[in-house]
Amino acid sequence: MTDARLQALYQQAVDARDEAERPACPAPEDIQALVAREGTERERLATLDHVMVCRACAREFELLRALRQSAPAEHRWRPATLAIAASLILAVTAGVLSLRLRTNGPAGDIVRGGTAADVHLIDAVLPAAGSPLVLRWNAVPGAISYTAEVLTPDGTVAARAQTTDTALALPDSVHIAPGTRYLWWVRASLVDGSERRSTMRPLAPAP
Amino acid sequence: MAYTTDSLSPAIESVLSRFAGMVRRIGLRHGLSDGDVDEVFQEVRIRLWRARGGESEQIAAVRSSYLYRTAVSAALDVIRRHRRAREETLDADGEHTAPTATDPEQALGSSELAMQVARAIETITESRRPVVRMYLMGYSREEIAQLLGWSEAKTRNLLYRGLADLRDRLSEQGIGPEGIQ
Repeated sequence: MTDARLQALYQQAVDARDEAERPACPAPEDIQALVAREGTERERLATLDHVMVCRACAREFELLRALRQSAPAEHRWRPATLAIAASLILAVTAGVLSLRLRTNGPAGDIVRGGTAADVHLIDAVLPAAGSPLVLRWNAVPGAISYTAEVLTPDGTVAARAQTTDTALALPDSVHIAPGTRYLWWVRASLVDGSERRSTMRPLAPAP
Repeated sequence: MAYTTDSLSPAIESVLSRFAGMVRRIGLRHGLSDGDVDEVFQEVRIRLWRARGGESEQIAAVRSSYLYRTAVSAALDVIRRHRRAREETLDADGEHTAPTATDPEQALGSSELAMQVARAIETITESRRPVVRMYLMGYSREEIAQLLGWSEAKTRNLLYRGLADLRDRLSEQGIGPEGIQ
């Protein structure tokens, strides 16, 4: 039987299924987690297994998936008012200092809660007066790169940088306004193509 | 559905229009309705307007990541609203009716074969099953790999093994390349 014939028959079966036959639908947040690759792979596959047998959930999934796929990359969105912030991001990327704490630093193995496979934020430190702010997190097995973001309270990306290390220093061109509650977080890209994400944490530099 | 386009600056409208247009194009292949997209983006406009107190100059300064999160939040609310409406409709209507067929006999045979395919999928390895389902719903290998964050090789391997499992199960039931043998 050809793939096309199998597809037609499968979709016919999905259409014909009665509401009562289906197990309970996953929460909309679970479908969003599937689309955003959040949670464990087992959980996401379980959600996917339901979504692909339930027309109503499939429609919701497609809406969230299309949104995700369409989320404009920063470099594609350049209204005039965004140009300054965009140049800031480029400056951060160009000015990243690699500290290589993963191999040399004492904080590289620190894991606070969760499992070693997750990204755990360690701290944001000012090594010395007037020196750049340094963000640090733990090493994730299988990670090939890390992307760190600093967000303003309204979710604007104030700084973003990618590194292969577990720490990065923000260059002087990034100004953290006093009294503003910034957030920061880190995403690890793994060798198998998956991602691990840290939680968000207020950016409160330790002395 | 009327948009409050006079509330937002041309800059932010332009960004929203491009965003919505891309969502439509991507979702079109898998049957995403324009109505759903319109509903979500209308909700986004309202939220932007409320969040920024109607000052279009400030709205124009929002970033794409903020817009994306706003759109997801709006979409989740729209989905919850649709689910509530669906449940109320089901409660009110009781059992819903099955689709009608032009040739009942032919439809019955085809329907039975479809159900056999659906039942056979239930028996294949759990790790391969969602991938097979997604493929049979019309998603490409690339779309599956992208969704799950898998390499192309891993996706191809699991999909082909899953489809082989499915054909084996069907063959055991006497269903070969041409359908029921």
